[in-house]
Amino acid sequence: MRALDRQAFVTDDLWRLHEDGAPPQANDVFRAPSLADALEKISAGPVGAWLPPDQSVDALAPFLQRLSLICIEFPKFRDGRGFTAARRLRQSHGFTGDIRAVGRVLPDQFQALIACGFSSVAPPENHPPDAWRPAAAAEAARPFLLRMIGRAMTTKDAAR
Amino acid sequence: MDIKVIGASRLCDGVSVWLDSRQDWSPDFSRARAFLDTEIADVFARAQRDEQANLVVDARVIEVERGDAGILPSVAREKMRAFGPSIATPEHGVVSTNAPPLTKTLAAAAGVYRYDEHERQFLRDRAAIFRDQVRRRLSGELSEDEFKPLRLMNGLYLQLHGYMLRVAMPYGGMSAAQMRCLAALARRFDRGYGHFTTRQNIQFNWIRLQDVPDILDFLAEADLHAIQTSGNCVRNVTTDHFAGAAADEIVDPRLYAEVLRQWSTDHPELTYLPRKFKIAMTGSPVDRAAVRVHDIGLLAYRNAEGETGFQVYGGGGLGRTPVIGVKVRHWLPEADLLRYVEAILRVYNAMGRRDNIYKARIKILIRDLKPDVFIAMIEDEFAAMEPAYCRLEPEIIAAVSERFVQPSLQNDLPSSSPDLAAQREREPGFSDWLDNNVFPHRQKGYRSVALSLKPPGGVPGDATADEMDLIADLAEKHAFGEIRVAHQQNLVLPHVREDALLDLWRSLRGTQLAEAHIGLITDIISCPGMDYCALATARSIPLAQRLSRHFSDRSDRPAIGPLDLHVSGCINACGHHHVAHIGLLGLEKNGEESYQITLGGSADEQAAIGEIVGPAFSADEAVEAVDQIVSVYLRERAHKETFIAFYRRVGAEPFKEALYARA
Repeated sequence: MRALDRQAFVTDDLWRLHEDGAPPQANDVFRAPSLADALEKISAGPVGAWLPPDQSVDALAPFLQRLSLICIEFPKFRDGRGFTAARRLRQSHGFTGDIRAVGRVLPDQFQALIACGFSSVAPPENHPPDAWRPAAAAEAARPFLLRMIGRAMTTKDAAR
Repeated sequence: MDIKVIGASRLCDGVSVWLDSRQDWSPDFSRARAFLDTEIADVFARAQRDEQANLVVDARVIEVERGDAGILPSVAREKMRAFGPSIATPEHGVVSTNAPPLTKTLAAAAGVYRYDEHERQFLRDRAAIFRDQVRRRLSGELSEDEFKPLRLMNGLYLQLHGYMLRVAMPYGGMSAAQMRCLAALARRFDRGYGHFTTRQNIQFNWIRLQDVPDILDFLAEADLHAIQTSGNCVRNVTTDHFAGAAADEIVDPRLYAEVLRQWSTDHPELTYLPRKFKIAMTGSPVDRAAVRVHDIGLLAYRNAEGETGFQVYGGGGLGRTPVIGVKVRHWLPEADLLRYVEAILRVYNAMGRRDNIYKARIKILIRDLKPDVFIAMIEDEFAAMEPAYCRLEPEIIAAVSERFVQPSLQNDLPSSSPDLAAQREREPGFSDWLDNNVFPHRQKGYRSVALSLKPPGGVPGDATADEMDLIADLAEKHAFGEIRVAHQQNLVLPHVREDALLDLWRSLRGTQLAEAHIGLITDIISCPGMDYCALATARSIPLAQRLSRHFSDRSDRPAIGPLDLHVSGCINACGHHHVAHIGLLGLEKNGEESYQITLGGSADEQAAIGEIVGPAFSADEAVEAVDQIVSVYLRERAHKETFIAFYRRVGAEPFKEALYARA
């Protein structure tokens, strides 16, 4: 799968979306119905999960220890459920693996994605990797209060 | 044979345009070419190509009729686009390009949060980001679908005649210097006036997209911005317009409103919510901020130990489904304010409906889940947060508090009551104004003063650039340079010495700002309605103007006493008609405007949603109907009974009888 890392540099990794009916293998990303079954069959190697927008992160809670990647789907960039899903995974569930934004996201959202605990982004076709670098490089000034309470730091620390 | 024209809005400036006979886009409706049904598909395809080429947006086929003076759109909204607002607008006329150049003016004033250089840089950065987004939109890198939420987050709407920019007045406060910046903006980039809104903001109606980056740069140098004045995010936190001044206040809510403003600005998690989100707060037992009809309402108070905390209401709101909020917490300690509000928003962001825009507000989620379940979910979310996350430690509160410039009120002023009594004798006009526009202050020797933006027959909430400058001068002379916007669409000078009141009134006399009627029937709240707004189903300003003239002329206006009269131009209820004592909602039926009347609403600590009194009235009948309602009240009230008290005692029946029995 092609993705952008926290600095919006391109990485090509071994992850692939598991296809229905195919034998489950390490480096597959599974949707919820097949995840439990797959985890039983795969004894070694990394496993990923796909979280559709209408599913609660709590459904993944029993499997988090075994998961190395969670792909959170954005059906529209205006649909912000994915931000809360990532925050909950980091803050409430202490998930430390890779959280990847997939689907319709905008370069304009890159900083917010990272601040919520995403560690990678699969860029959609209409916004190719080059479009994301400026957003990643921008150094933002912050209001006084946020400098004092450091809102985003908690989430970032959890991701490392 | 049916004929049609093709209309659109020009992308670069939002101006309404129509395809002319050369198949060019003309801003002049009289040049619009009428097409036959058989031609329309081809022509519309051409219009859509221009949409794809980022020349126009919202291309559409418009039904027209042929009349004596040429063609005429069939529906009211398209008529409004074709011929402009139906109301008189200030003489300035067109957007000026030779207004004086903008100059940077900045002076810290009492009551306004002082920015530091980081915060100013944050606003500059945001303006630069938007400049880049506008460039990408004009070049086609961003589609309209992608750009729209981004521009809305910067307060920019596309309305009937152009773009409208809504600039935030955080919790309704601004300095005289900032008011002058608004005046300069109005002259340079708009038609010389602005409109103060029921959410304590200001709107400019004639903005060009290409100017907006420069406008945001200009605002940033004055510590002003338009961030999150629209979009599905946390909006400007509103509060009591007498905050920090009111005699009955327990806690000054502006400190916490500022904390919420900073927390919610560009919040990484909570900027793409199911729908908009409005927070209101007050620190007085007398609720002047309508906290029970907001998504979250906060009532700041002190417990028996003298600690500051909040009563929290959730799920209130107006619009299509008016609801009084439910109390979700009786006591929330100061330190947990952000954590708890974030917990509410997190539950809402995860679970609020996204399939139906009309059911996406938090009030629907609370109703569907049942309040008890919703409260339990918030408490769970709150409990699951790391203990230190977003905690408001006392030193943080103290540091933010330090940033507010306190007015240097003298604490040894004698009461001016005897002098005021003598002045009243000499100036009856002054006496009326004292009775209606001047309010008690916590410090002896001072008062808070409301400046009416509702002259008889005027547009509620509108102020010209010259008026803005005058108000800035008066605020500097008499009120420590501090100005507030009231959600009733008036302005307030919060700290005026009693011995300066007569001088202030004399300066106002002869302007359009001295109408002595705050809280009376002619102090009408009105949304912009179909004269400007793309969502409206009917006009609201012309009706407000007629009502204002009618009751200004009625000799017994003073006897009517306090009465909230509001007009909304559509079900979205920006005129807050549901919480008016007498509310008017503009509807459209078979191409005709009609107005539904609600009675008995209230936004204060006895918040109530008004009851629909019966079938709607035409605009002509509506004025007469309100007059009859008032007459019933005057005829049947007990001694000194206010309209709302009378209504609560007798209900809607006598009014229904008077309004409908004649039929």
